[in-house]
Amino acid sequence: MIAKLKESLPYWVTLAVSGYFFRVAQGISAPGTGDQLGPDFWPKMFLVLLMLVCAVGIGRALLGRRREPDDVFDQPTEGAPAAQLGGEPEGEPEKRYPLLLLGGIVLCLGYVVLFDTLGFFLDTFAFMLAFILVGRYRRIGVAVGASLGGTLVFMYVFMKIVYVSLPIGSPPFSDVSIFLMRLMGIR
Amino acid sequence: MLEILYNLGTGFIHVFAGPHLVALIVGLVVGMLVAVLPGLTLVMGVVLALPFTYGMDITTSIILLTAMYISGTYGGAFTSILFHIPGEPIDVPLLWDGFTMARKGEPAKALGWTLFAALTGGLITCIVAVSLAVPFAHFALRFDQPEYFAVVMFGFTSVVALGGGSLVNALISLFVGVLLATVGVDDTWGVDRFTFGIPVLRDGIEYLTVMVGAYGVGEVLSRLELGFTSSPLQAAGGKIATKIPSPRELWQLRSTFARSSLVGVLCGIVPGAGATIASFVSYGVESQYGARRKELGTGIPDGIVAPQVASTATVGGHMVPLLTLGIPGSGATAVILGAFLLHGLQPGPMVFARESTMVYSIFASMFLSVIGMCLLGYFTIKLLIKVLYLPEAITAAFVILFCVIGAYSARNTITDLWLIMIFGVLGYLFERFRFPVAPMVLGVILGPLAEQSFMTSMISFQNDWTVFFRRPISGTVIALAIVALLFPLLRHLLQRRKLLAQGPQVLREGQAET
Repeated sequence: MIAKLKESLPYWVTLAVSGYFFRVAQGISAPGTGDQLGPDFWPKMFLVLLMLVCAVGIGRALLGRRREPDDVFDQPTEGAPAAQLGGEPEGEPEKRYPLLLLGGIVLCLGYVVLFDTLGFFLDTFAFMLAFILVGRYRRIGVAVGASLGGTLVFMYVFMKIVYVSLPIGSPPFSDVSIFLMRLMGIR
Repeated sequence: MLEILYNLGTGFIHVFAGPHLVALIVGLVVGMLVAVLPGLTLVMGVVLALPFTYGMDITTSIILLTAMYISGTYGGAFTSILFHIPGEPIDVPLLWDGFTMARKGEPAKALGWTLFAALTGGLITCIVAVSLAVPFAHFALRFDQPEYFAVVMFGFTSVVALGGGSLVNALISLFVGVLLATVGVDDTWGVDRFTFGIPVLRDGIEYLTVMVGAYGVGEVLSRLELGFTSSPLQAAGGKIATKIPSPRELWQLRSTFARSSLVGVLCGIVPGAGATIASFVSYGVESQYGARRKELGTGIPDGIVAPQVASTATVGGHMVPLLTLGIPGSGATAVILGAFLLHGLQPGPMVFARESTMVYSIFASMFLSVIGMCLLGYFTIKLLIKVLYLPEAITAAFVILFCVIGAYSARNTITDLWLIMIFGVLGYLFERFRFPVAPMVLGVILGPLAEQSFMTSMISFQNDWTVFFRRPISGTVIALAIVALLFPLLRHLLQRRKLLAQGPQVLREGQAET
């Protein structure tokens, strides 16, 4: 039963979230719509459809019908590869590293948090180096070179050629960005 | 016809202009590199190239992305045949005969067959695209809002039904995408929806943010969880070269070329049935109707030609509905549509009248891309596969960097960075729990068009929803959409009937396998 509940969990979560958004959608209205369909109709229609499909998913997961051959909703496209279908290959299950994943997510979020403060150059360099190391690559020299080179090339291409206004950061970190911009001839 | 040829000639002249030609060559090289690397998919590659197009004019941008798309259908064949590493899902069928032929001591010949198959499939698809585009566009001029709504619905249902995997999960993915597109100020009534008081959300959630987050960051997180296990290549070994098949050998396989081209073009035109499905279906058709069907899997050229011709032949098929209706049929064409919209142009039938030079330049670039990718494959194969030596952790860090730049460049707001990270985690969760990402992306892109055409139809026809079924074109297209949605059921019934015909024992075995 626990396995079935676990299997149905994504559908429960989606159902709960769509229920919340349906409640939010109740508050969407426009004056003077008269007999016409209002701005809430379209999202509400899809939220109801989403909830219905989630209910089907929950029902199938709990009733244990997911692997049955007569379940047309789970028939894979004939000949499609396991990777495309999201299925796992036969044999030993792939080994997973949840801590690496957690580390990666924390790094990504940290990168965004510090983006404005450190500026593009320092933040990106630090993020890339840390991400490469979290990704279990241990040749420090190569990792530093790739991070530094990649960050500088991106900074040059996007600030000098494509004219994207990347953040330079707050003082004192902005001094580093301004120094590099001068070196590269970026105004 | 003469007008088409004249326009195409003008298109060729335009492509040979400096920036267009550079974009084409860069697109071919990058597309091949992306296809060769197992950690990067073709669609992800096209998504990551998008921010570089901001500073380009629209024709150059589309030429770059289309060249990447075309060469991406070919590049992965090298690693499939030589190292048993499919760079893309479309290259999996090449393992069965391509790798087997290479293992038998004929890798050069296997590569030669692939090259010629890609060339044939590519040229046929270009000819089909040029021939069909104008009639398609003329036909599309008769479309009103109900017809547009019906076409979008057909796109939605076929993507959901043909994309593979669970129909329930695909529908959830699609609905989530459509709902994401409702965030922001409503077009019809000018009312805020799901903005939660955040000013930047009033402009809506950019489809680019969803695409970059879900495809790029999501894929990187999924691979990180597996510990970046696809280690760099240790040793290539042996001499790597390409041997072109003789005209006599090619003539013997004429039926295979014809069948596979047809499968590829048809799979291209139907939204959702992309290159991967075409590749597998074509191999399946060959195993049913091929002259040497019993020898398939033993390293014969038929098993190389069928999937490669079909996968490359889908490109032109996808480009026709994209350019004439503004409906993308695959992940890569969805990104190309995104590039059109970023440059302020909505593809559709009027594009042929207003921007014919641009359209024919794109067609001309497709022809040149096909020829260019084959030349590139022939002469630079040794160099290209060196990219496999890159450690995955470094590639992944660069992918994230591309994603960040891509998202930030669109509106220069940190909110978009938060959004790509959120969609990255969502993309990871989708992959983890076997929800396909493609329907969500198409939902975000086509959701506004679906809503606008639906609401306008309702206003114009006094809330009479039967209008979608009563009008000849929209009625037919809606019927096709229903058929597409019922396709998995029909397929299942046919399979069951086939098993029943073979006896109860076989049925039980079939059920056990399912």
